[in-house]
Amino acid sequence: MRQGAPDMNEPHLNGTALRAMLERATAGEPPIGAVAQNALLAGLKRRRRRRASGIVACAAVVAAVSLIVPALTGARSTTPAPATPTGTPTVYVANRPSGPSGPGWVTPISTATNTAGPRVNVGPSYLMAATPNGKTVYVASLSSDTVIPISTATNTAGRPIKVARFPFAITITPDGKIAYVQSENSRLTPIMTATNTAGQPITINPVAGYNVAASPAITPDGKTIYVSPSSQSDVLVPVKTATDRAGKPIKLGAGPFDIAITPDGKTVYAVNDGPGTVTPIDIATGTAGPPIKVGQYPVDIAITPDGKTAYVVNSGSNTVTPIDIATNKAGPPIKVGVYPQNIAITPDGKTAYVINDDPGTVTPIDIATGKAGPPVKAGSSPVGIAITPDGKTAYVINDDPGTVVPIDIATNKTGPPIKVGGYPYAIVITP
Amino acid sequence: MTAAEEFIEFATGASPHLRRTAFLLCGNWHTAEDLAQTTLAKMFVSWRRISRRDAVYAYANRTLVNTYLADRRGKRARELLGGWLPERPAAPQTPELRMVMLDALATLPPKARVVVVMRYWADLSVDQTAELLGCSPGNVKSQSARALDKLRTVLGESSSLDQVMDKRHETGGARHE
Repeated sequence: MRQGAPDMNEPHLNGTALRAMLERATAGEPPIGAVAQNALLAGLKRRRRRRASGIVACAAVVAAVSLIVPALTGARSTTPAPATPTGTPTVYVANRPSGPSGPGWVTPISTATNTAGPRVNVGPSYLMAATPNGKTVYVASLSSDTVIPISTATNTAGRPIKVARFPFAITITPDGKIAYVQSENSRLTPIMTATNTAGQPITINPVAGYNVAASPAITPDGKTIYVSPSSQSDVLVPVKTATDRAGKPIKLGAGPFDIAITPDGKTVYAVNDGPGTVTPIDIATGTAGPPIKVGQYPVDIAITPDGKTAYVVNSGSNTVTPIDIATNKAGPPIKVGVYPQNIAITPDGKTAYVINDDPGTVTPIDIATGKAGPPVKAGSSPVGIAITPDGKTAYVINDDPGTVVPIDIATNKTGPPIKVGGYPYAIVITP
Repeated sequence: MTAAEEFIEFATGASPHLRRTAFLLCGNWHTAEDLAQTTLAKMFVSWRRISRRDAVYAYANRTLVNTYLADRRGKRARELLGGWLPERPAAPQTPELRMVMLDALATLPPKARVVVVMRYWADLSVDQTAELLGCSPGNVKSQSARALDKLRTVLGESSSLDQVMDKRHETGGARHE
């Protein structure tokens, strides 16, 4: 193990003496905890956090667009009429610099030309979400305890909105009126999107410290938001959006890693990465059903637009488990690539795309047959995927080097990578 | 063996040493365990790429040092992502010598502390330490010299230093002159 001999020019308190003293200083070492296992779980969380926001936001957009578009025309005092031509969604990619932290930026990419626009500078940040009308993209900035609204008409950052300390997740109501921002210690700050002003933070009990939880999920009717206080706490707390009151916590038996709600608003699925299960919760009664066994370390869940099947990505066993929503029974696992991370389903419900970390591929799954197609090479290190609302293109972000690779969904062929620089970690697509 | 199993095997083997190194950097076991865990969690994120390299342990050291330095710089946001726990003061577990040494280390600025721990605990050469810190070997040498001066000043006032030295002579440790 020893490689470096002490320098000749060091007098008295020399390297050998110092080595002995350092050795002695570690005396009284307490027993070590389950560091390896915890590191794996924390690592999965890191990946998940880095990768998930795009899918969550995109799914929310798709659901919201089909349901609530007419409700979105309410007067907005701050945002001018969109200058972006209608029908050309924009991809927003959040990037961080190569260092461990530092200011980040958001790169807009026009889906019409697949070219990157000028960077919008934001602080070190984590998650993004787009309003259903596509006028604003919200970016949570961890270090400054703010949420930065980006006007998609001008691609400029607005005045930062102060929220509870350490914001890490954003979920927007289907009518686009309120953006709920989850912060540490289970605090939820509502932001009125019309004025970009923050309301009084709601404290979710039980409070669960610093542990980043699954992003909150909201029912399609926008009435209830389900919040996980922490990935370590085994409950889900419903919050009524009308009153901002937290309801009685629902016991899950394990900490959730991801949450999804069926399009009919009847069931919440909580993915428990520790035991490798998915817990169904009946929304009407607020009770959890028996956990459904899936694969090892499930990290992501997506539900088909018809609400028939939930797909769970098992990052430890390199598979995707389909769950029949009518019966809550798991089907046979579908083999995908190594280290699958995230899943996105096309708006027509025909194909699910799963990104695989290791070979840098995307596996398409034909939903009708439940069969995985040949993997599509999509860069060296895919960390997130989002699909355009028209279902024509999937965009895959790669963190090393910082590129975005478009995949034509009709042919599963990739286009030339779009350079965005840095390390992309989140993607959203506006309607 | 799945990639997760492979990672667990590596992490189980590496975590005691990583925690000890982290302890010498931060001075309390609780934070040390967090640092080790965060380091391993960061490695897991890109495990496939990392595990293909030869120098996985060197990579672990580098990640640990970066994590520690980022923490010292007060970038409070970074660890939230990995489940960072609030820092607790170390429970005094006596051995006087241990405390004296830790107090002495605590007088060093973070980078100097890294240099000392990497060179004299992790047994890295000047060049390896320079590479790890992204600075010149000359810078490492001058940091080492200054850190040793500082430690000498701090520890020199304590009788415990003599005890260490005596202890070392008793056990017949090879002295480098």
